Amino acid sequence: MATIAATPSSSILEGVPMEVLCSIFERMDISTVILSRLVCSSWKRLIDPFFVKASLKLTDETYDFVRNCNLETNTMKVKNFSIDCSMEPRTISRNKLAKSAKHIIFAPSSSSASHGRKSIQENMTTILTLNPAIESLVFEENSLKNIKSLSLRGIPFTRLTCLSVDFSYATDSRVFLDFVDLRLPVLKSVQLSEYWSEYGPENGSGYFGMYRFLANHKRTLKFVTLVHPMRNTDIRAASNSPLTTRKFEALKKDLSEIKLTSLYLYFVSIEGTGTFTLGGHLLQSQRSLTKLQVAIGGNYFYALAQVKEAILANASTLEYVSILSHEQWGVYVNLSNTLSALPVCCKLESFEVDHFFIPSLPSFPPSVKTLTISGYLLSDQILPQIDENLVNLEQLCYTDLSSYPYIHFEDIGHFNRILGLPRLKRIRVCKQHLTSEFEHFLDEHEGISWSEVAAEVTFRDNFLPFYEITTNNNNNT
Amino acid sequence: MPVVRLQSVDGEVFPVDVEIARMSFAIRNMLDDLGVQDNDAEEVIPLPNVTGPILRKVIEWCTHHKDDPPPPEEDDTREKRTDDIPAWDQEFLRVDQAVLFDIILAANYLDIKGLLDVTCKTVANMIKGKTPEEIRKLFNIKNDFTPAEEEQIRKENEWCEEK
Repeated sequence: MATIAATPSSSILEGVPMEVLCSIFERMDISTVILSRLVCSSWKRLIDPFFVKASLKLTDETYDFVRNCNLETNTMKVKNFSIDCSMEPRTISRNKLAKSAKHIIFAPSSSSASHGRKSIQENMTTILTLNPAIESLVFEENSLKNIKSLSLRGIPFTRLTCLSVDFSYATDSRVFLDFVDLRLPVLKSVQLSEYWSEYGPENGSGYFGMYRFLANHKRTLKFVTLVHPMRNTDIRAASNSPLTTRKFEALKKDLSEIKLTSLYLYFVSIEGTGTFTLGGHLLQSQRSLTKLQVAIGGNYFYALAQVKEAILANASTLEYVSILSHEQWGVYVNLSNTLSALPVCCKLESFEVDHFFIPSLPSFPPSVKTLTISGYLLSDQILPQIDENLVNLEQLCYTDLSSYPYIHFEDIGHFNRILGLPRLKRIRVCKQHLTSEFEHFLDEHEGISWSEVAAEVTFRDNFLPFYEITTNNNNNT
Repeated sequence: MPVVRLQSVDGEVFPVDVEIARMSFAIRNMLDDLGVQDNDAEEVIPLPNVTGPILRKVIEWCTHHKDDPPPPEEDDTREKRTDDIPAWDQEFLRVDQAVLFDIILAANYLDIKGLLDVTCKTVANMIKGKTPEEIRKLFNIKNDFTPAEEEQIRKENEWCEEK
């Protein structure tokens, strides 16, 4: 029997074997265990691996896989698969920590696809099998690199409401099929990225598979984000399309039955140079969107016509509309025709346009609170259109990407008027275009304060500096 | 009732009913290995890791719990709780911290699941609700983290906590 507390300076826990301390930690609630990591380094050393292991009930190999993970019971971020260190086999089994993860995020592996006795995909599958009650699941960019198959089919994810998968560098069509085959009874929100990248399967199984996946969840889906599969190939020309005509028609029909409240579509026409695209079809089927964001590249004219139709079809519900260009430097595409659909959007609160040529603004409905306008603008024509009809405008973010003109003295009068709008709280304006007269104007103006702020907009790889002007209206609400 | 004799490290001998002694898996294994018959009342089992006073406590606990149903198998779906310690056990474990840890060590050595469970829960309850500093004070543990390390762990912990 170990002698305990022989001197006043030694801890009563000296001589208490590690496995006994573990037995105590196992019986503590999670938040106490987490807090106990702060007690001393030997406790932390003891808790961390124990915690990982107990959380997951992992085999030793899998323990290796997650030993560097920063993970706990509710959010588990799995990353850094290095195994340069021999692990200490322990026989701590027990308790239900394993099944209490609510959110799992797989980050990209920093090493090769296989090490130890278990491959990454086996470990991913183990983790998911142990946590069927998760509510959200994220595969980050490159996390599926070189993954072959995850064998997800048998796992009953009965509570999974949110799924985000980035397929970049996923080259094996089996990993796409894993997801196509999933049936998630309460799936509400989906983000799919790069499911048709140049590294993906050649035969379009990623592309069709992901739309089939959406179609399979048509009754529960509310929020969908599809991120640019950058490939200029006509889908109809894919002669080895895995779909028969009958299946293709069935897919279109199912997609048209998805009733979304939020759709973020980062491609529209890039998914095919032809005039029909499944993404466009999904967009055209919507009638009750509150949020719509599109990033457009490729066939601008066709895509913008689709966006206009979609805005009109959802005019009675849309609260947020955002139109972005794929091109980093922006494009000289005239948006006026598309924007002409906006005045009928009676609930529109926020409108954003980025990297476009905007010769004129539509007359916005008075419900608008936030305007974010960036592109090749003609200031002397745009600024006068932000007028007294926008009685509810609270925030304006204004960036003119044209190298010329600067905002001139005559434009300052427009800012004077905009600052007078009754609810205005904040103006952000790109500094590049402002003259010292503007600073002088701001200094002289009553009831506002202003400062330079870190930029959020990049243009030609430069961060654009901004002035942020705030009004006293901030204090009123 | 057949009896075995348990001898503590300080030489004290305790005659114990076999059925009670067999609640310890370690003793059960020894008895089975030795092929001890029910009537081998003179057999003495030395327990080199347990002192007399602690062995007395352990036997007292086992005697009180001899008719308990066997502890349930490891069950992952079971809620983890520490508020289910029976009143008798709470009273029984109202002892010095040093004695409590000696009992834990004995329960661990003798492999008495029920006693290990209830004593570990008792310690877990002592820790629960305390700050790290209070925990250090409770067990006389030295904080060997630098302020920077402590800050780092705090950050990790924030990340861990349920939002």
